[in-house]
Amino acid sequence: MTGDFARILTDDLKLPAGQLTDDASLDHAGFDSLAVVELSVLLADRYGIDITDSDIKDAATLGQLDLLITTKRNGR
Amino acid sequence: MTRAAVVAAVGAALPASVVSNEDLTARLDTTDEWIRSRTGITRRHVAGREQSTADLAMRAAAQALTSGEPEHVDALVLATTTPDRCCPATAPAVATRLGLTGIPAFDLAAGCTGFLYALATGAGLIAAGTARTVLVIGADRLASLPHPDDRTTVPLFGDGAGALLLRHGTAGEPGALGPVVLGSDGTGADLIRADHPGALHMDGADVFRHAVDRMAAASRQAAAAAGWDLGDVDRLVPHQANHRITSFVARQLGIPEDRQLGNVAEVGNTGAASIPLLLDRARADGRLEAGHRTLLTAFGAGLTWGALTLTWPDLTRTRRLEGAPA
Repeated sequence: MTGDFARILTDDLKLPAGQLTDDASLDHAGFDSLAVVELSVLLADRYGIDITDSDIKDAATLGQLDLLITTKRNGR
Repeated sequence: MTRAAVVAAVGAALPASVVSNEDLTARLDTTDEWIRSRTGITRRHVAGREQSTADLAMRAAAQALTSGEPEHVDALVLATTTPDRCCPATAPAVATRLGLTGIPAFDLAAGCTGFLYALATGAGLIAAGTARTVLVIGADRLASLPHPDDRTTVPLFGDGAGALLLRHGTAGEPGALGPVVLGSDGTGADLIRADHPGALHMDGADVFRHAVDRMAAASRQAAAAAGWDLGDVDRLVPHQANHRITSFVARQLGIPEDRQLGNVAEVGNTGAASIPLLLDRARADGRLEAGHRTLLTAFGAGLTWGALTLTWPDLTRTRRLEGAPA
């Protein structure tokens, strides 16, 4: 997992660090419906990338979500 | 010196009846953990049928008048989304019960931003020379809006009222309201709506998104208009909708946790009452002190939003001399 993504999960979304592995599902990591929106808003404000609530909910694992974010950031 | 509206006194009122998360879990399919993790709320005050919006408004206003002891009150502005009747407005009845029959008194509806709209209106009456002293009240019975069986919205809301007494003063003195930033967007009218009490609909995800964006932007504008850097802010006083929303806004603004005021855990979302209730609470428990550079911000149904700055005044100095006749 990239450092930026890990920091967002622990520092901004306040998710428990122990459950944040690449193969963890979002549910297992502690995402609730508001966390999905929080992440989407954070990514738009901080990196100027548009990742919708559905994009986030469709990611099977944190690793997939991390890859999606990295791809979007590099593609800007 | 430029004329300004200055905060001279504060008052608050909460219904006696308290509904805890445990009380709700007994009748709704929810848990204390679900409510607390998504909202930060642990309990709320709920008015019974016997307690009206006017009753709560009157109690909060009477407290502000007792501590401020104005010689005259020239106008009363009541922000509420839950007036006691469709017609007439609630404010004239409140004014009469306070012994103020004859003054201009009117309701103002701007959802949970209502109190900031009312402060701006009161400040405008003072700036125009129409009034020298204005009683600004926020009173809501939002617990009456959700359907009683809606487990997602019932836990969010509580009832209450708060009031600030504004007096004529000069810009730059402690308590003077800074430039007010207000806005609305009717394209989001359906995101928070209730056709009648018991029929509240709220689109949580979109409300969250708009709330954090609008409050952060309005806060930045209000601070800039006052000539403040956000780093100058000693106390952020956000409308108490939900702890997740207010924390997010504070993080966006770079305002650390020890400079944020909150009481959503104890009262829930009290609508137009939320900001004056929080000011009163924080003043009483010492979290808000004279000299604190204070930034108020709110967001609500409409959609509406707003923000304004003030340096919190030493309210003990507005009292008459000790021993003076009441």
